[in-house]
Amino acid sequence: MKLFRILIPVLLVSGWIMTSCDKLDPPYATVLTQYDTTNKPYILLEEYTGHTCNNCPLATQKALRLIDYYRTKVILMTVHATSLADPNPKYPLDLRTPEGTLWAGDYSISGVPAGTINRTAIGGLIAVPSDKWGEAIETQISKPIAAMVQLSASYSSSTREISASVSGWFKKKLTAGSNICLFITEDSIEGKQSNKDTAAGPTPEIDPYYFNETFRGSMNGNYGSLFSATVEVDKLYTYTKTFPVTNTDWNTNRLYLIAAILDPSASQFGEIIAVTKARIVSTK
Amino acid sequence: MALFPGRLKAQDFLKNAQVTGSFQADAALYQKDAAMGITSESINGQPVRMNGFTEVNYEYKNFYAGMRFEAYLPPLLGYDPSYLGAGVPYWYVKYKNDLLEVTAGNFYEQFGQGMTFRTYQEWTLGYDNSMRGLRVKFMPSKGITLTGVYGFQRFFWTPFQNNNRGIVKGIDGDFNLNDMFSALSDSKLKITIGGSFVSDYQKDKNMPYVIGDKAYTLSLPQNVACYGGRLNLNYAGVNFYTEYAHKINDPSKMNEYIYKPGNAILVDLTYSRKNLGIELKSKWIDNFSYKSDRSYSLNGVDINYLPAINKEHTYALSAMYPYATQTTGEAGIAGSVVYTIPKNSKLGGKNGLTIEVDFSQVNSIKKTPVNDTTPIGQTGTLGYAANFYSIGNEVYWQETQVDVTKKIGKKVKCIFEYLYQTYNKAVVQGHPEDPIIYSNIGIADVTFNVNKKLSLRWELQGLFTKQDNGNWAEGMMEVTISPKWFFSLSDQYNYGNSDASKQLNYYNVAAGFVYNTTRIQLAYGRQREGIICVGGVCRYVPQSSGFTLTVTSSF
Repeated sequence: MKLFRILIPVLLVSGWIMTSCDKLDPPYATVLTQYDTTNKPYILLEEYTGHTCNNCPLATQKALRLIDYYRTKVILMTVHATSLADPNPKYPLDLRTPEGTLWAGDYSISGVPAGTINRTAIGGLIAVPSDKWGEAIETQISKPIAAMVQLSASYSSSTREISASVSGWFKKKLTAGSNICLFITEDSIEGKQSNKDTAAGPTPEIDPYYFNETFRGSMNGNYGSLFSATVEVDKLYTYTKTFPVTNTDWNTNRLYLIAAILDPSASQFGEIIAVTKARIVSTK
Repeated sequence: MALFPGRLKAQDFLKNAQVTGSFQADAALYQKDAAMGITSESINGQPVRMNGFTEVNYEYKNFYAGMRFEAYLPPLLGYDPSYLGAGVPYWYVKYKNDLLEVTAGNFYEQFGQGMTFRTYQEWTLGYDNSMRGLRVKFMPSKGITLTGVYGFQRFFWTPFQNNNRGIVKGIDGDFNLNDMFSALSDSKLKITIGGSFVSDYQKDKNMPYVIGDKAYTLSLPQNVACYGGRLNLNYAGVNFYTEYAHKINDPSKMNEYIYKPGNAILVDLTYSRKNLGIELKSKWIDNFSYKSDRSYSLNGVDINYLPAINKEHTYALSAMYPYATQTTGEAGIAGSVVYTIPKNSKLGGKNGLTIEVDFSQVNSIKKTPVNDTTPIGQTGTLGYAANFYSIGNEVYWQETQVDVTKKIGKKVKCIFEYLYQTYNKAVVQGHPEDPIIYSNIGIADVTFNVNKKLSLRWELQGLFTKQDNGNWAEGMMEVTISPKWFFSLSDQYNYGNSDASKQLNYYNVAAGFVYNTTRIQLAYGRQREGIICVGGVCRYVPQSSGFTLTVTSSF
C-alpha cells in the first residue's frame, strides 16, 4: 500500500515533467527581414503646392533635384492646399484633400510653395520656404537615427481595398508612444499648371502637366493612429491596416504608400522620425 | 461534498468555528515642500492616499476558508500605480486531514528556500505574487510530504485571460529520513532531502525582435522548466543546508532574451552552542530570474525567490544603501559570528556582553563570450558562458559590521554598531553614471527603562561618505509609556551634501496608541528618497512630506 501510494504520484509526475520542458536548439533567432540603415529614407519633404501657383513648378524642380541628390534618403510628397489649389473653370482638377487643408492650417501655411521637413520646426517655423529646403534636409539628415520603418502594401481590385503592413523599431525611447501615418500618393495625374519661370517650363501655363507624388489621402486619420502606446528601444512593432478606395478618380496602378512614424510628444502636432515608401501592388 | 464527508450542520459552522483576522490601513496626506522640490505636480493632484487590507480566516474542524480585501485609493507614493483600485484579490477554501490537504483559490507556497518556487506577500514592498488555482499536499507516509501546485499568479488587478501570463505547475517532495526509516529515528544526525520541479507555460512560440539593423523572429520555449534539489543535515549544533536549482532556456526581458540555462546554488552552514553562534553562507546565481510573464521586468509575477545572504538592517542610516539581489548573476559569501561573553566575567560584567561580527560580499560572476563573434549578452544567442561558481571582479556589495550589545544594570541597554559598506549603486539601482559608494556608519542605541511603565530610547547615527549625497547624521528619541502610548522625535540631516540647497533635515514626529491588538500611529515629517529592501527584493521610495496614519488590528 505504501509503495502504491508513492508509485502513482511518481508515475504521474514523470509523465508531466516530460511534457513541461521545451529545450530549444540554436539558432534561436531567425532573420525576419533586413533593414537598410545606410540608404534608408530619413526625411519626408512635404511640398505644399497649387495648380494656380506660378512659382510652384520651379519649387517642385528644386524638390526633385534634392531627391536626385539625396536619392533614397529623402521622400517627396506634394500636398495641394491653400486657395491656389482651388479648382476653377480654367483649372478644373481638384487635388485638394481634407487632410492637406487641415495640415496647411495647423502648420500656418498661408502661401505656396512651402514645405515641411519631417514636420520639424526650423527657426521656430514648420513651414520652410523652398530655398531653405536643402539646408533643412541637411540638418535633419545629420541627426542620429531615431527609428526605422518598413512597409508593404497591396491593392485588391476585387475588394477595392488597400492593405498595408508596417513594421518599425526605435533607437530611442519615446515616453509618449508613437503614431504611424499612412499616406496614399499617386503619380502622373494629368492636369494644367500655372507657371512663370521658363526654367521650369512653358509660361504662363504648362499643359499638360503631370502631377507626381501627389497626396491623395490618409489611410488612418489626420495624424495617423497609435503605433505603440509605449516605445522601447530595439523592440519591433507592427501595424496593419486596410482602406477602401471609393474615389474612382484614383488610378490604382499608379498608387504609392508612404509610412511615417510620428513622435507625438515632439511638438504640438508631432514630428516625423522615420519614413518609407512602397508601391501599392495591384492584386486580384 | 466528496471533500467534506459527513453532513455539517449550519449551526456548527457558526457556533464552533474559529474566526481570525487582521486589518491594516496606511494613509498619507502629502503636502508641498519647496525645499524638497515637492510641488502640486509631483503630488499629482492626489495629496490623500491610502493602502489598506482586511483579512478574515475561518476554521472549522478540517475546513478552512479565508479572504483578503485590499484597497489602494490611490496607492501611496512609491507603490506601483497599477494597484489603484479595490477588491478581493485573495480568497481560498481548504480541507485538511492527515493524508491530504487541498486548497482551492489563492495560496502562498514555498519549495525549500524558494529557488524554484515561492509565492508570498510583502505588504511593505507592495509585493504579492500569490497563486490562484489548486494546491494539493499529500502525506502518504510519516516524513513524506508531496506538494503539487497549479494555477496562475496575481498581477495587480489584471484578470487572467487569453493566457496573458503563464500557467504555473509545480511539484515538490520533502523527505525527512529520520521519520521515514525507523533505523534512523534515534540518530543524532537529522537528514532531510527534497526536490522540486516547476514548469511555466506561456502561449507565445515566437516574437519579433530587432538586433542591430536586423529584425529577427525569436523562438520561444512555451514550457520553461525549473528544477532543484536540497539537503539539510543537522548534528550536534551544526546545521548544513544546501539547495541547487537549474532552469532551462528562458529568454525574457530580464535577461535581454538570451537562451543560456540558469543555475543557482545556496549553501548555509551554522553552528551554535551556548554563548556562541557562527554562520557561513554562500550563493551563486547565474541567469536565474524566473517569471510567469517573460516580458515583465519589474517587481511581480516572480515564480521563484533568490534568498539574500547579506544582513538586513533596521537602523535608518545602515539601511540607506540596501542590496538588491541581481538575478542576472552574482556570487556572494557571508559570515557571522555572535559571541556572548559570559556574565560575571571580567569583560562580561554582571550581565554579559554580546559581540557580533558580520561580513558579506557580493561580486559579479565571470562571464565569457560563447564565441569570437558574439558579444556577451547578445539577444537571440546563448548570451555568455560561465563556469560553475566562477567569480567576477566587479564588487556589487561588501559590508563589514561589528555590533556590541551591553546591558548595564537592570535599566540600561546599549547597542553600538560600526559598519563599512561598499555599494555599487550603478548595478544595484541601475544608475550607470553613479560611482561606487564607500561609507562608514556608526550607530549608538541606548534604552533606559525608567520604571516598569516608562522607557526612553535614544539613537545617534552617522554615515560618512565622499560619494552620492555625502555625510548624514541622525538623532532619535523615543518615549514609551506602557502599555498604551509611545512617542518619537527624529531627524536625519544630510549635512554633507555637496549641493547646499540639498542639505536638508528630514524630521519626523510620531505618536502612537496601543489598545489590546490595535495600534494607531500618527506621524508628521519628511521622508527622504531611497529604496527599501526585504529579502533582497526592493522598492523605490520617493521623497515626500506630510502626515501619515497607520492603523493595525487583529482579532
